[in-house]
Amino acid sequence: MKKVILFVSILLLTANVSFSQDTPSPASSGSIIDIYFKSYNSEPEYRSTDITEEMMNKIREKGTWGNPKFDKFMRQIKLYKKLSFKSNKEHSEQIFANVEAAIKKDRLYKPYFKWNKDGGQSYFYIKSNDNKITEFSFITIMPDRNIFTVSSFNGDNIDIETIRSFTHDK
Amino acid sequence: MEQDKIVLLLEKYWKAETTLEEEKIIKKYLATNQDKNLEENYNWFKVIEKAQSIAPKPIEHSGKSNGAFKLTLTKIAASVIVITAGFLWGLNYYNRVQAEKDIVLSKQVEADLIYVAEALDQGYDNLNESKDILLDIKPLK
Repeated sequence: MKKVILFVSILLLTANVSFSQDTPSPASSGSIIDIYFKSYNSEPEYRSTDITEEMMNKIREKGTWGNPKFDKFMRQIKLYKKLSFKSNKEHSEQIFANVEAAIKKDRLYKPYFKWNKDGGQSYFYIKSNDNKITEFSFITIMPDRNIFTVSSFNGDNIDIETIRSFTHDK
Repeated sequence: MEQDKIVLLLEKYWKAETTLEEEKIIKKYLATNQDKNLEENYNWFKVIEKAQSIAPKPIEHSGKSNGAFKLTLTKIAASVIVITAGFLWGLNYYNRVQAEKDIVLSKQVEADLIYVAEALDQGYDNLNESKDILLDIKPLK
């Protein structure tokens, strides 16, 4: 009898492992904010902004972009998300350590670039699909202002190089 | 003599050619004289007299009620103007607030893009500096 129970248990465990590997992870959909920062919505002064393609079209129609290059780049973007909340240096570092560990584990995002400026740190990430960049995001910790921010640009094929040219025209 | 005149007037009446004055003469004659030759006419004029007595009277507005009616109309018109003006003001205000919100959002996106651009630019500069340093290194003789 024990052998039968053991056999059935092994069979069920094997089936569960093989089926769960075929199922895509539910965390793989959405932006970096949706995947890794939803649980932080109780942080103080938590603010989240979504600019959809429709709203970007409206901004474009009204000619609100300060430079035609912004407009050109934003045509590649279907969704822009921004998240910010109050957080001191230690807490921000702890949150980033947790998120970084999860990103490394899931392998959905590749670290692209790290930048230190005025005592703050920014961590840039990209998500690709068939060599096309579908998301460009960055996490910024600003200890002097006690702010933690995340920005995310989502599209079908984002050309990051075009962003670099903005510094020459501003 | 008068009877002949009435007969002529009645002929005109049935052709619908009499004036209101002539009809009054006919009615007056029939009311005061009995003439068997004109019996059908007697019956006709009795019928129309009865019909006139039961016909609904035209509504007459007294000066007071007419004034009240005009006042109500004025109130309705004023309300419509106030509501329309309020709606247009609200719409204008909403559009203005929305436009300001759009500007704030676009500036936020632009600030992010400039920040990224600076970061990338700095990164490429550092990369080029490193490359130049590497190129300057000459093998020891």
